[in-house]
Amino acid sequence: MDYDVKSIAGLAHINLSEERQAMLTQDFGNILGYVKSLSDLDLEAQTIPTYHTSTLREDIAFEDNPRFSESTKKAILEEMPLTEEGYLVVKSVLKKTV
Amino acid sequence: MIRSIETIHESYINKSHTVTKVVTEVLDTITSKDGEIHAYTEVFREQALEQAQIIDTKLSQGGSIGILEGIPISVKDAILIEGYKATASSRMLENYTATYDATVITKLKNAGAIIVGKTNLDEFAMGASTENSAFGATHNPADISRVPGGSSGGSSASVAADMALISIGSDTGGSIRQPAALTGTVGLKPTYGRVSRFGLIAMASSLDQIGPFAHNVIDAAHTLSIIEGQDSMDATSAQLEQSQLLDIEGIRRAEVKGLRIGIPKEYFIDGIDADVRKSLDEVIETYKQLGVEFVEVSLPHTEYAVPTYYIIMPAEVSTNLARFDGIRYGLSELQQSQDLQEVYKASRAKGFGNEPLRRIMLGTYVLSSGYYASYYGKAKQVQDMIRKDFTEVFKEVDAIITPTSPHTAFKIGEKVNDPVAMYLEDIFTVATNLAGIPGISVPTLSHNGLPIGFQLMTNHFQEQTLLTLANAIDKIRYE
Repeated sequence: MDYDVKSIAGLAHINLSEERQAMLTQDFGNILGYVKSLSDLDLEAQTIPTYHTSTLREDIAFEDNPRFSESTKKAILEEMPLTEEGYLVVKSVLKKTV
Repeated sequence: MIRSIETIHESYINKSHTVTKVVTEVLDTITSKDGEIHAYTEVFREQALEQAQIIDTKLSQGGSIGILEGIPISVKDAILIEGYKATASSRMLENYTATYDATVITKLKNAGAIIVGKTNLDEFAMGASTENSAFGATHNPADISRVPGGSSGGSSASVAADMALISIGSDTGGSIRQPAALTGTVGLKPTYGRVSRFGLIAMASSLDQIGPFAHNVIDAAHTLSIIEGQDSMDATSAQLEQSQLLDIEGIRRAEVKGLRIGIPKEYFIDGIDADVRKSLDEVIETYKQLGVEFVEVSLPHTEYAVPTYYIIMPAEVSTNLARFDGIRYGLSELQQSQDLQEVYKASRAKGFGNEPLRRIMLGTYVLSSGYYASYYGKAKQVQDMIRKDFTEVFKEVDAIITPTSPHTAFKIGEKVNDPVAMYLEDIFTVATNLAGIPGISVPTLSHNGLPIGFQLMTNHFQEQTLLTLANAIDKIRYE
């Protein structure tokens, strides 16, 4: 079992303190050791997708849904960390190179 | 405190109690007991009394009411109620106010149930003790030095301590059934797809299911019949066939004579407490006297259920919790960060407690390039074999019986620093979620000290049989 919790944290977009890094390194060893029993299992069976009952519908908007009302829109905007004129503000994604 | 919604319902109709009186009694119990138990994250005192008053007025004017109308209920704080906080007991959502009602909430509101508050849970429903809450642990009403189970421990404690008649929880690997067993309440996890999860803060979407806690099986059945049904907002919710609908009079009256219950040999291994075993044997003996037949059955992949669960569940957790990124809602380090990447990384580091962190990390690892096939791919295959084990057994028997938990409630602090020990709490409950079948935990007929529960499972959508068998023992307990 090779794992590097620091690089996994990079993939998961989480800063890791040294304390948490030490905790996770130990936990990963224990947990992966525990789930390892699956690799002993000889699998002939074919994997079929889980049986979820999934339904399809026409791709049309629910125009009259109260969830898309102005008051809901306002409530959602209020939960945002930073807005400007009804838009969500994020840090710039593109960087100037020159 | 009357511990039956049917009896309370009758008392409203024959005017021996008012809704205000019952709701006040529940609120006063919260005031006197919850300082010690800490089942609630928020209590809606004024709103509950206001609603009680409205129903009392309706009753005094000769209006008719439904079975849940005026019944005080609590809701796990992972389920959204518009205009109220929904924290999932996490710093990440400490200041988040829900912008819409979950489908189960819409249904409960339409039925006139009175929501008295939101209940504590392990952060993002991850845990088996309710110690992982960012807002402090919940204590077991039967012994406050012990855990109430988890993750829906606030829900189980609220019902057990008469601080609500019903509670709505969620169960991904045992989070309704195990806390029910540890607190002496009834906890029902319906078939995957029976109840809409729209508005439940998702943990592992292929396993999550909403269900009720109650004092007795009939109350749980009434609640299920209100909250179940297909929902256009949850594509995995199923349309129930006529034969799958609940018939509560049928549950009450049906004979269990001639029904067959399987005892899976793989579950009766070393490690079950003698007291738990003894209480279960008494239940089995009572069933036999009622004419139920018992047969030994085999679920050969049982030992792989917990390892399979601890691959599939974290994989889905890492995906579902990717949405908490400090951008749109929840805790955000936007102001303190230099660039977009730092907003994500700093917000997530600050918002998530250790258990969500552990599971996000594990999930990220098992889904990462080079490891996907050997972990996640393999676990999905084993899940399929576990499901087949059950469908094969249900060709022979109507239900399966096991203990819900191998032991009674453990001490607060006993397992909190040992993730694997905590994960093994789910040993008798996870297979049900992996197979998508329904399961219920019912208090045993007697116990020596702390509460003990037994678990029944049936095939998909066979809740009628599940509840009929559960009620056969439950009504003896109440006699």
